[in-house]
Amino acid sequence: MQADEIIQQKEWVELNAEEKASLQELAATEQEFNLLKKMLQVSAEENEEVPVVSAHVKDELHAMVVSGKRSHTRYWYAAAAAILLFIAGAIFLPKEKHTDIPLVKTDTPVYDSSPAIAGNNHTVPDTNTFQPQQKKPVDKIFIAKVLPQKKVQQPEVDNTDKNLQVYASVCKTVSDEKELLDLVTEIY
Amino acid sequence: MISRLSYKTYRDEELLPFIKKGYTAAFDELYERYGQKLFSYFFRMLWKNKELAEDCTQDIFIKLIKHAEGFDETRNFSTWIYSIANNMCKNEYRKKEVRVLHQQLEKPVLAVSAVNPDMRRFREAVHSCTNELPEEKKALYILRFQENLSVPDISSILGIPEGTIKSRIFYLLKEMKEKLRDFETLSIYP
Repeated sequence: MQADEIIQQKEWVELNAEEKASLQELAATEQEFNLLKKMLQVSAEENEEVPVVSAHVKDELHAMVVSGKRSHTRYWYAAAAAILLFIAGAIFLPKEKHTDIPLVKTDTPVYDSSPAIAGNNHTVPDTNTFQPQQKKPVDKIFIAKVLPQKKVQQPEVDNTDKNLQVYASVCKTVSDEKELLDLVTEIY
Repeated sequence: MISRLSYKTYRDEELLPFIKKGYTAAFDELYERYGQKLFSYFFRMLWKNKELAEDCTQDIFIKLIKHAEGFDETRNFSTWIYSIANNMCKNEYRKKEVRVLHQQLEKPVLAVSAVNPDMRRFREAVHSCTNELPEEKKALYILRFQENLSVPDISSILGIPEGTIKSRIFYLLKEMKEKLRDFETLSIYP
């Protein structure tokens, strides 16, 4: 038991030796003990002197709790309304029809339906069809300077190839080649 | 609508979720339990200024309504709310205006119930002693001897170890006894 609890709950005569020893420093005599006891009684009685808290404090707090509840329900209503709008939108709003764009290239030009960029002609350039180039009017005529032609160096022809060609032009028949003729007769 | 009677059996901590949802009956129950107690604490701590005590009482309940979800469930609600109240008092002490007010309200308003002149003087002396206590000692004095809270609860509210609280109570009583020593021989005893 704490010192202050002993003082509050017991009388001096009721204290045992152990309790008196624990209170030695605080209340060595009966007078000191009673003085502290009375002081604690007066302090406790001070509770009765405290006025009652005004009713408006509770009323204002009460209103705040209610407003907090309202704000909560407002959020729920807003959430429910948003869901309903989304569902209604998904069901009833007309869907945009997309034209099928062929995956295979065709000769017909495909026109771009996306929003136009200022200055764009909105067409996809067609690479398959022949697009005749329009001649643009020429403002100035430039005369090209004629330069003397340079000699183009011919690559050297191998002499062996040249000899073979000559040889082939001379040997027109098998009978002209004696060794080859002998070989053919030997086979047959 | 659920009446306040139905929340009588609920613990303080259990009432908080209902308050957060806006159940006024739950709030009424909690206010019934702590409204006057907290007002009394503020009233005694803040130099018996009723308006200031009411403002603080209102503020602490507003904090409770707004931040009910911030309550640490491992803690006892009573000690939690008193610790908030104690911090609010600390803030009030720091305010310059209140210091000025303190000087103006230094003389306590006493009840006229004390018929015995010695007893009346003794009461005045006790009030004077408690009012002159520095903030921390005053909080300890009020929590222990007027709110009758236990040492572990006070320890939790003030954030001070229990052993320190015990020794502080001991030395606080000793200090008070020394200040009131003049009344030892007076006929103040029943």
